Amino acid sequence: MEKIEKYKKALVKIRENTSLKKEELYADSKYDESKFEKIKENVIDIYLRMINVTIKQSNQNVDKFIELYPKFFEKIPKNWKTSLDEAKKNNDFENVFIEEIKIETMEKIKRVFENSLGLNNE
Amino acid sequence: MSNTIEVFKCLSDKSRLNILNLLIKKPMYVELISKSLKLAASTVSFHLKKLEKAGLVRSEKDQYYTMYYVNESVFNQKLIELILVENKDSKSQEKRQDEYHQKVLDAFFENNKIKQIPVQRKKRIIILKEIAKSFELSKKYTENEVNEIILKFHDDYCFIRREFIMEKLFVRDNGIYQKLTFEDSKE
Repeated sequence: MEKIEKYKKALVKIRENTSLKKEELYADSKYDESKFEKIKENVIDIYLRMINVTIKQSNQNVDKFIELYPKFFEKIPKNWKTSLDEAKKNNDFENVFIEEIKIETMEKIKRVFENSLGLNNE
Repeated sequence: MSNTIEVFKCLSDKSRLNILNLLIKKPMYVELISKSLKLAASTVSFHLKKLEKAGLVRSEKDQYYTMYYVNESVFNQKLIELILVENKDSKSQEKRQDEYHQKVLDAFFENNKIKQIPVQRKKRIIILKEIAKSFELSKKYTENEVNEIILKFHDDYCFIRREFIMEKLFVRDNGIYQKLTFEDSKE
């Protein structure tokens, strides 16, 4: 459970920094970039919520948690990838950018997860 | 320039203003802007695409890079000229509306008589307004006088008379009818 707590704390920290950056950008009239930070914050929120969901599902068993949680890295971005393809097809650069941000944020969270849980083979 | 609102929306972001400030001095490519403004290249690309879409910048492919230039013709315009573009838009909208009105009148009128009362409310109002043109604005009409005028257009004077009131084109007081101005009749 210690490793899961470590992961959770790391995500909370990233969310705090993202939120702070979002507010600073908004105050500096950089509205689009502030909106992008908000999108990142939402993605982090989703994965934070999934921690508690998975802890319940795995009955606080770390091995079970490690088995179940990574499935969200496949399942959640599925729609984003579909939207990304659709946006690319329609030359909709704004939505391409937004969907890419979501996917990149998920990839970053995945790396934090792997590092925190000691799953990184490198 | 196709959309003045898009231009103003585009300009209301400090990062894009910063990019424009650089491009006003000299044409640049994404990586150079990215370095100058300490912004991710992908973010710079995003802003440039938005500026390009609004017609504020244009791009040209160089040998290795895509160079971005400010669209001087837009920046040399006066603010009033930008706003007048909007007026042109509203004029063309007015023109489209007039054309639609005429199309409805042509479809439902024949020899100054109504062939059929439209079922669709939007079209029916156009027809009602056309009949209402035969009434004077400040004059008061008895019900019989109203019926006689409507009869010139259609036999179902009761229905049209009722619609006049329902659509607030006329007011009725003690059996006396009076036409409302277009502004009065707005809900």
